[in-house]
Amino acid sequence: MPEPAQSRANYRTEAEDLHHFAEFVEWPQSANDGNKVPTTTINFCILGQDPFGSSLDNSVLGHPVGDRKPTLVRGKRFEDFGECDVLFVSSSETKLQSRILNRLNGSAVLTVGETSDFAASGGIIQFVPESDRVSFLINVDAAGRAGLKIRAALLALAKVIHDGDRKRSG
Amino acid sequence: MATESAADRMPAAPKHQSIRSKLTRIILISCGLAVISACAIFAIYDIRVVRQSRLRTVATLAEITGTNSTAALTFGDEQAGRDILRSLLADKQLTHAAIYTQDGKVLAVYSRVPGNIKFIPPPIQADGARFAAGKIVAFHTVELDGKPVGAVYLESDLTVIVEREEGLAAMAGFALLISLLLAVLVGSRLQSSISEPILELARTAFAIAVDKDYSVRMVSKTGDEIGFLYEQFNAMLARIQDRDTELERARTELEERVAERTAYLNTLIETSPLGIVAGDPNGGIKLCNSAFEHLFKCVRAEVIGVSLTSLVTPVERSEESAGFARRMQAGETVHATTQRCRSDGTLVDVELYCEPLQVKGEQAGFLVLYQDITERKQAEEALRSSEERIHLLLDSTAEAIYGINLLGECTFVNRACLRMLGYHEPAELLGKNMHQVAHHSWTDGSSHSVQDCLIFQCFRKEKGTHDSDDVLWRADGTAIPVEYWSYPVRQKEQVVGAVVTFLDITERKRAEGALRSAKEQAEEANRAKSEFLANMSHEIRTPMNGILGMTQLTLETKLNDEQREYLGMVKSSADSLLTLLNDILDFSKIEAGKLGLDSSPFAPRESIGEALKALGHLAHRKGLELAWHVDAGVPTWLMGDSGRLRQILVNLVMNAIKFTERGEVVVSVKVESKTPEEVELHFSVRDTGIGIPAEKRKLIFGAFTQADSSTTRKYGGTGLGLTISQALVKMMKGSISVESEPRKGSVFHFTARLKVPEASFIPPAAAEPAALRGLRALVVDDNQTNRLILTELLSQWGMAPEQAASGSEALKLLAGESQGSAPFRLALIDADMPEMDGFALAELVKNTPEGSALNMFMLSSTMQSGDIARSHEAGLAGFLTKPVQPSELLDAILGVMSSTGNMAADAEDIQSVPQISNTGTGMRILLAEDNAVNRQLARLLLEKRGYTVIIAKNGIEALAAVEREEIDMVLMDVQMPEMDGLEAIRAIRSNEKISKRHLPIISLTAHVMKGDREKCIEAGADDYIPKPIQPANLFAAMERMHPSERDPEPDVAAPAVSDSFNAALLERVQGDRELLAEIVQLFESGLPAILQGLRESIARKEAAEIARTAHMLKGSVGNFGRGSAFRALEEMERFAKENDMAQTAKAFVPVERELKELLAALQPFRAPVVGAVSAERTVIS
Repeated sequence: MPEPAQSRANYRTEAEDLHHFAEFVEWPQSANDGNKVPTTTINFCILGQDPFGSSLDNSVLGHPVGDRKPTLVRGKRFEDFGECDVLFVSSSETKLQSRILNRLNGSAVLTVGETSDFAASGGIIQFVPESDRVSFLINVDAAGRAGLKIRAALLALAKVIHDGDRKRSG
Repeated sequence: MATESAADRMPAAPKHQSIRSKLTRIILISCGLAVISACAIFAIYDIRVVRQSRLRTVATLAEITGTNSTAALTFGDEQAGRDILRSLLADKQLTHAAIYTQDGKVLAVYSRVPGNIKFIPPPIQADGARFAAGKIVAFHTVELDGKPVGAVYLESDLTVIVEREEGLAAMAGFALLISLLLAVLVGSRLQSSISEPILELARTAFAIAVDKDYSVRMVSKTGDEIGFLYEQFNAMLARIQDRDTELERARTELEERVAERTAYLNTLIETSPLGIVAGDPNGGIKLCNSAFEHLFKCVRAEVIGVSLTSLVTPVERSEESAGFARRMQAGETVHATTQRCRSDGTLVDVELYCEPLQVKGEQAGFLVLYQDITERKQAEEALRSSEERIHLLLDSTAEAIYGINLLGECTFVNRACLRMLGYHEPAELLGKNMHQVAHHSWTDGSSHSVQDCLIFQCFRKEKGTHDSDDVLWRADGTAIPVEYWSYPVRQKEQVVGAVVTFLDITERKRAEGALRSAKEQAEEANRAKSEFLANMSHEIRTPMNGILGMTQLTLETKLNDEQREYLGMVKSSADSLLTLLNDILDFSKIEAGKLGLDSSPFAPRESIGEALKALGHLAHRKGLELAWHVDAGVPTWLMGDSGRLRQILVNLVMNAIKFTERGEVVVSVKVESKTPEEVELHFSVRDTGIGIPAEKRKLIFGAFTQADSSTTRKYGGTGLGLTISQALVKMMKGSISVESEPRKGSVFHFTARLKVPEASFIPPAAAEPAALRGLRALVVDDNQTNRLILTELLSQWGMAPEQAASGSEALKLLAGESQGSAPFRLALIDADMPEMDGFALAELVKNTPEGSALNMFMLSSTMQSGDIARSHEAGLAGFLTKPVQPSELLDAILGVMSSTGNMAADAEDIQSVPQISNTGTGMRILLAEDNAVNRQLARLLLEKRGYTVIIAKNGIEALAAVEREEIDMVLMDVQMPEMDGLEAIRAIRSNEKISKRHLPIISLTAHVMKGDREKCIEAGADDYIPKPIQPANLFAAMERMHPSERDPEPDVAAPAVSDSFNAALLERVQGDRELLAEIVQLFESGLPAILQGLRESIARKEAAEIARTAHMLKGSVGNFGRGSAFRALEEMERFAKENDMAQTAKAFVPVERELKELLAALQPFRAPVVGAVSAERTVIS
């Protein structure tokens, strides 16, 4: 049930949140082909119709995550991306969502989605828009498979679910 | 105690209150100061610590809250911020809190009392906690990855610190109060520990001064200066006390020693059993002891000072007493046994010692010791009277008794002894050496040495000796027979002499003599009786001989049926009479203990077989079956009296036949037990007869008893048979018993122990197993020595052994046999061979055609479990352990050969022949016999058998006949006038020493007592038969003698008969020539066809047919008594049975020839009879 991008007032906040998620997540040391050299960039990928618009560029670009310099790529197809550290799956890609998640299974990519069954389907973080704020679900099993460590502080803010928990919100 | 009492009396204590209060004051002040200052320092410190600690706590809380709110700040989540602050409720002193965003805006606020006071968070200040206006405020910047994202503010009140300060003040006051109280209590206690010891010392010193008791000590409780003062004070006291004690002890010791010494002396005197009295020089009593009081029945207190003499000296002894006094005056000690009087006037026997006493050279009085000797006197008296009694006792007994010391000297002697030995006074013997006086010689007068003397031996043996028959010598030099006993006399375990008692046994001797002569007379009478019996039996036997013999002869003549029947009765009556006679003779011999058993080697199988075969006719006549079975375990040869054994068996079997109407009589013999030297055989005779009722079973073994007297009438018999059998069985160390069920039958069992012949015993040649002769045998063993031994053994038994060194060689030999040579009948196989072992070989052989007829024995040196079972599986005939005893092997082989019907000749065939073989040969027999009837009988018997008989009427005539005529054999009666048989035999034998020939002599005797046989054999007879002469006995004995002379290889199966052919033939048909002619004609006409059939069978190799025909023909030829033809047929039959066609064909040649000769010999009988007389002549010439 995708909503029109512009109708969502929360997208600006979500765009910032997307960047903040990266701040509370730790990627495995040997991510991205076991390259031993610590990665110096962090790639944000937006798949499908971008609901954030320029607010995303503002929140991400110029705000390094730790020592890592952020980049931002938008693509219509999954194959368009090179390396992704954070992958946002737009609600426009609902149909392909499960295929993408399957393909990514086990890769050290922080997947973020906005469809109501994103986390339950194997995505790591799912936005749940509420009237006055944006809360989110985190599938800790999916995070564990991706080898990502999510800080307790973030988990304390989110609603933690496991594989197979049917969506209870949105 | 002393201290206390001293303290009570002590003057008023010195003023010491000042010291006590001074001490108390000091303690209180110092204690109070110390507490106040300590409390103050502690309170200041504590407040500081609490404030710092609170400050740190708030700062820490701000930090924690900041960290927790990182995510909430980042995401700007107010709700999350409020939630975090709410957790601060846990700290009761935190009043307000706030979270600011980076840009200074308040994200969330917290107030402990919500809504009451409007809390406006202050603007952000620098990080840290600080006191400010009665509260603590703290700021903390929140950072994410080093970048500030906001701040936290915390506000805390100071209520805790204030409360704590108040509490501390109260505590300090309380502590001061308590410590001062304690100081007063403890202080009063402590000050007394200093003042009290000083007071104590003062009190003690005062007490000692008053009481002079130096044993008091101060007890020091502390090691301080006061303690040291105490110690010094104590040390001073101790030195004073030690000196006091030393003085006291020295004094006491001295007193004790004096008392002790005095008591000791008093005790010595007092406890002495002797009456002791001491007097002053004037004779007055100074002291006495209780023994004295007791002895003289006086009281010590009353006699002190009294004159001793007046007290104890009887009037009649005053003289003596005065004498003692004088001697004492002279310083002499007096010792005397005398009498003194008691205070009550009675006299007492005493032994006294009077001793003058001198003290420092001056007469100080005297001492007298008295001993009461009344008991001693009495004992002496008693001893004297006891001795008198003993003397009286000894003198009054009828037995002679004397005593000797170790030297043999007489110490005492009683009256009976004196009387028996012919003395009058004891003095005549006392001190004399009794051996030399009365025991110097034996009965026969020869010297009897002391060493042999039983009386002296009792010293050495230290126990009683006894001789029931000896002599003692009297004073007058005559001897009396005595029985004596000698007992050692001991004193303190040492033998010091002996007491000898003896009896005159003259009377007893006389009685014994009478008894002995009576016994001798009785024995003499018994001897006479036995002699009489023996003679009687001879006297009765001689006429019996006549009756039996003549009846026999008459029966063989032509008689009509009636006559034959009557004579048959005469004969059976005479037979019974003879049996009875023999039984009575045996019985009387048993009664007289004169029955002896022979012990010579015999073959039990043959012996039993012969005996039972003879009874077989009897059984068959009654329509009974008589069967016997001798177990394979029964040895072939045994030592014993085979005749007597047979007698028992025959007796039992006869009884069985007698009492059985239908059914069977079965004899079985087996080994009951076995030792290397002896075998116990068990015989049982079972019948299906009338049985014996239980109550009669015990009686039947008694003499002259049968189960029922009616039985006797019905079945006859003497009733002695079982008694004799029982006696014989007992002599053979066996037992006899019977089991029976009336109307079902009885079983008689008996056992007999028989010796096994020594290993060196070689069975007589005649007993050589003819059945094995010529049999082919195979010995299979890898060991050459073993092969050699076994081959040798088998050869000795007449077998034809061959050797194989291995299984394969054996198989080759066995295979070879089927191509012509005679088959092997026996194989001895070693179990342990390399390559192919015995069992494997046996398995292989078993399955070959020639193997089925082969009897295989397995020989093994190690008997392993399962070997026997394997033996059976392998189809073996037996299993033997090495080394194999020859007899064992032979037994085993014979056992198997007979059981499998592989014997060279059939037993039945052998039996059928001797009937016609007992035939005279024209031999010249010298018959020496004085009794005319017997002579006539014997002559007729012999002549009927074709012998030429020369007669002699006594020994002299017999000798002359031997000199004069050509004699082949002598039958010699033992009892003859002029010169008896034994003498004649001896003479003949002595003459033969020159002529170097040996004339067979059989002695005839009616003396059947044991020993007769030996006498005959000793004299030189070759054999012996009892009279009356039984033709069978006679001819059997002649057979035994006769063939060995003419035929070096005796053949039991077919003794040479051809020479007496005609006579035998006629006898066979009882002289019926017409019958004979018919038989001959029948034989003659059938023979050509039979011979033709044989020839064809040989051509067609029909072995079984040949064997059958040969056997049939053999029976026909046997009728004509043609030995050589019989043998030829027999041989052919054997080869045919062995399936040896080549040999069978060869054997047919002599068969044809012999049969032709037989036909020729039978020719004279074909023609009608010319005349009986002429025929008789032919026979005799």
